[in-house]
Amino acid sequence: MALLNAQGVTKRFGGLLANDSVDLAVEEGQIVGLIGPNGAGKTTFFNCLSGHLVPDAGTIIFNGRDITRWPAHRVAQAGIARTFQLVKSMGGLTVEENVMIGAFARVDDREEARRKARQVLELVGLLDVADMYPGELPLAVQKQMELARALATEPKLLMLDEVAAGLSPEEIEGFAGLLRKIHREKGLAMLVIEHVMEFVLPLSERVYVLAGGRKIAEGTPDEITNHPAVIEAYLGEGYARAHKR
Amino acid sequence: MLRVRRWIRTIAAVLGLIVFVGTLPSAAQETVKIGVILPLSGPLAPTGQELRRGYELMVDIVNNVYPELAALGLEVAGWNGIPSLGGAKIEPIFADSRGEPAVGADMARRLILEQGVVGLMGAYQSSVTQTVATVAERHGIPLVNSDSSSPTLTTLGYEWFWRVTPHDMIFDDDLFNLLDGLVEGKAPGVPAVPKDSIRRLAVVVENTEFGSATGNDIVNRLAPERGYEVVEYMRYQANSPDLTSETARLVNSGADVYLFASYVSDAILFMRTLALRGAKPTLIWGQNAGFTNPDFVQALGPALHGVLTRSLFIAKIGEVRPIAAAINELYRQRYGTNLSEESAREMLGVLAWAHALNNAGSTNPRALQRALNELDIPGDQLITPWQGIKFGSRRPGEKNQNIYATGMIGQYQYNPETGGVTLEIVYPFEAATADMVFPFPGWD
Amino acid sequence: MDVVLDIGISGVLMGLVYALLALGLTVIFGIMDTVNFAHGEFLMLGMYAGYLTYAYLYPEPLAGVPVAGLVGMLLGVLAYTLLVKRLLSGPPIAQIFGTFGLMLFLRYGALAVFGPNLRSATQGLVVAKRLVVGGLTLDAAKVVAAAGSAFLFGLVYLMLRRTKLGLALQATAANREAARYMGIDTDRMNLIGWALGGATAGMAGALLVNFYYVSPTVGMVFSMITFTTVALGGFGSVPGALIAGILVGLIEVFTAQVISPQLKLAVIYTVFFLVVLFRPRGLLGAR
Repeated sequence: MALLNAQGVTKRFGGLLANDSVDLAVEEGQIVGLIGPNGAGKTTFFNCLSGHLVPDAGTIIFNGRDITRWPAHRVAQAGIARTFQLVKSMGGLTVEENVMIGAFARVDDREEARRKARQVLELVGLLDVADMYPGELPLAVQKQMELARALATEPKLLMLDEVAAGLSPEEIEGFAGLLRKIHREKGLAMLVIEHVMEFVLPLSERVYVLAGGRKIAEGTPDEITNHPAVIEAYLGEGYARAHKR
Repeated sequence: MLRVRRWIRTIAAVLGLIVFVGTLPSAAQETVKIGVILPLSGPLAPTGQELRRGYELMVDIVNNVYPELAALGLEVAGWNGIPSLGGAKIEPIFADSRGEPAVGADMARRLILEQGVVGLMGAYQSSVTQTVATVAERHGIPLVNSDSSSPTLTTLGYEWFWRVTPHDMIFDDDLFNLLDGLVEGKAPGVPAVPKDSIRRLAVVVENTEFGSATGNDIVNRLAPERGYEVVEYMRYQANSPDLTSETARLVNSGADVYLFASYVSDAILFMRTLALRGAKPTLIWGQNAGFTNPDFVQALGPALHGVLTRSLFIAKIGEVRPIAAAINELYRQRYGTNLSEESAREMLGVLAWAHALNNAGSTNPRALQRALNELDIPGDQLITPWQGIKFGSRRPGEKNQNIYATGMIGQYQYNPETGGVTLEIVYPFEAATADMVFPFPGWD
Repeated sequence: MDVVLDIGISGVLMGLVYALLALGLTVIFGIMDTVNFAHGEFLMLGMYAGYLTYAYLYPEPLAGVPVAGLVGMLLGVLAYTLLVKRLLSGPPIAQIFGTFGLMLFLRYGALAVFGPNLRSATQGLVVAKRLVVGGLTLDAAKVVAAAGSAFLFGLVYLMLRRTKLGLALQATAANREAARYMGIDTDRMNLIGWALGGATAGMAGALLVNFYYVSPTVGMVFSMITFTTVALGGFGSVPGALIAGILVGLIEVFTAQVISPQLKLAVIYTVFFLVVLFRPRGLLGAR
């Protein structure tokens, strides 16, 4: 049985059908990519999965439980963590405190939370900026902090929303390495929304493609790159654009 | 927009109907209708009710026979209606000003045109009284006022406005009469004191109309006239959360006498803070308002021992005026409380009307005007220690003011045996109910 | 010099009281960006809770402090669950009108229930008592209220910095959405914020009973100065509220002493205006 199994997820905003019966599954320890052009409904789907939105139809089963209508904080406690396209750091709190807040999802003791936070910070290589405030750090580091904060909640599934956006090619490369390392060490399942194909395709074991709110293809990265519907709808143009960056 | 207007019109019509029905005469008999405009709703509603009780009781005394009061010499108590009008009863017709000048004027018009009242009374707030007086003047209907204290009202040259009760400048005069009396040895139980022990004044007033009027009258008129020195003239904000620095300033001024015009909350704060600082002036006086409020007495209790306040009426007067005691008793039986300043005011107003109607022998406005101009009620008919009610002028430009009207000054005195605090009359000296405590004993 | 020290100390004492009034307001604002216009009425009901405890249960106003804290907390919880929570889905203006309506409801409700009279405590450990320290005479009731304020500030500050709940509250304040994805029940944090805000307002009210009168409209007297304190210190900033409270207390006494008592509120508002003009986020505001 899949770790995450979303079936028929449908979300309407007024007359706009943002998600039209989308199916998606993530196995334990698997890295899954979710791609699609702008306005394809990726973020809406992500928001439904993470409890920010309640789908109009469909079911979301996570770890054997129906979480379709759960609020975000319960979804987080159940083991889904996420990062954001635009970094959402907590101003006024240090990097360490930010990550501790993640850790508090699992432990109650302050010192234990701190210890866990420092472990995760070490894993992502941010131990030396633990006492700084997120606002003082470059974007790439803030994104790493957000990743650390998500990891500190000890998720079974990590969802990354356009993690490469705004980063330089070198930084993207570094981030991909970091994710591989985490995957290797923790065996964590990941769901990666991405525009930057060079980043997501090599990383993913399985890729889903959304366009116009519907799933138009799924398969291995190779299958996807050769899928005529995908090329037509999105990939040719998108891949080309991604190369120009 | 159109709907809003329709709503407003509907609401206005309904309200108008309520007011109209409320003011309909209760029975069609031979009566003399006197319109009474009071703030019966809004923030002043409790005061309005108190005023109304005074009217009702005195009208009752005039319209019926009260042998026990008549036996004490109160003429109207034996009348059973207005004698010269064949025993016609006075019928008060109440109208609600809601405390607003425009509403008050409108009510006056309606009372005159729709109800055919022969005279008016009211309207408590000086600003409302002034608009009502304008209407009375235009229609030539007498307005006898006994509940407004702005000195201006009797200086506007009105032909149809008379005031029975003292105005604020008279109250201020009373204060300086008391101070001078202390120097001259007239105060009850106090040997003559050197003027230097009370010469330096601190005038502490809240900074709106009420306090400023008192403050300016004392600082600009009375202190120079009577030879006192104002060492501190402080205008403060009554709604301040804290009055510590004001108090420090007051104490540091080194004044002998503290004079306050305060509302109740600030009066309480001032007294408490002064007590904590151990301030020791020789005299503390308050201009009515906060200083006569029951909550002020409840909050401070024995700490008030020796504090003075001016008032129009103090129930203790019954000890020296049997008529006042008997009427107070009647009032207590009916309403469960002592006569208050407010209810006493309205009793005096009705009394003036009753005599004027009887003297006129007619409800013709001109006849009533003449009767009021010539009115001369002797002091023994009153519940206040005045020489009487007679309208005239006490200062240049003034007209139709009761020349005998004075206020009273009371002193809170703590009785260690009963544990109670009573307000004793110390001024006018001849009406004193106790020896004055002087100098102010302090709070230690 | 003596005068300066004398009124300086009374300014600091009163300033600590203002800071305590501002504490609850700034906590609620910090967590959920809602201005509780009924805060002065929470204070007023805290005062009644304290006074009624004193008058009918135990003749010591200080005994009313925990009672008023509980009453304030309950009030905060009820206000949030029955009113504010329902307004959150509406436009921000709905929250403004909502808490403004609550203010009127509580004020005139209190007028109907308690009547317009002013009530005051006349006896108690610190009521109308002097405290002489090194030649200075202080109002014992204000010293106790200021100490209570300092204590509650310390407590709230430690709670926010040193506990899991405090960090969760701060996370909610800093970024509600992110907090939610970290497993924090932000709706519960709102509720806790209102409970905390209500409890501090209630306790502040009971402490005031030692030296202040109680009336249905007393909230009005303190509301303006409380809002000014919060804005001056920075909306949502706890240390800001403390510093701004003391600043307001000092400005108040020194204006009254040096310039004129009737200008003291005007000067406070001018300082507030200047701060807003040149530093819109307040002295210690985070955003």
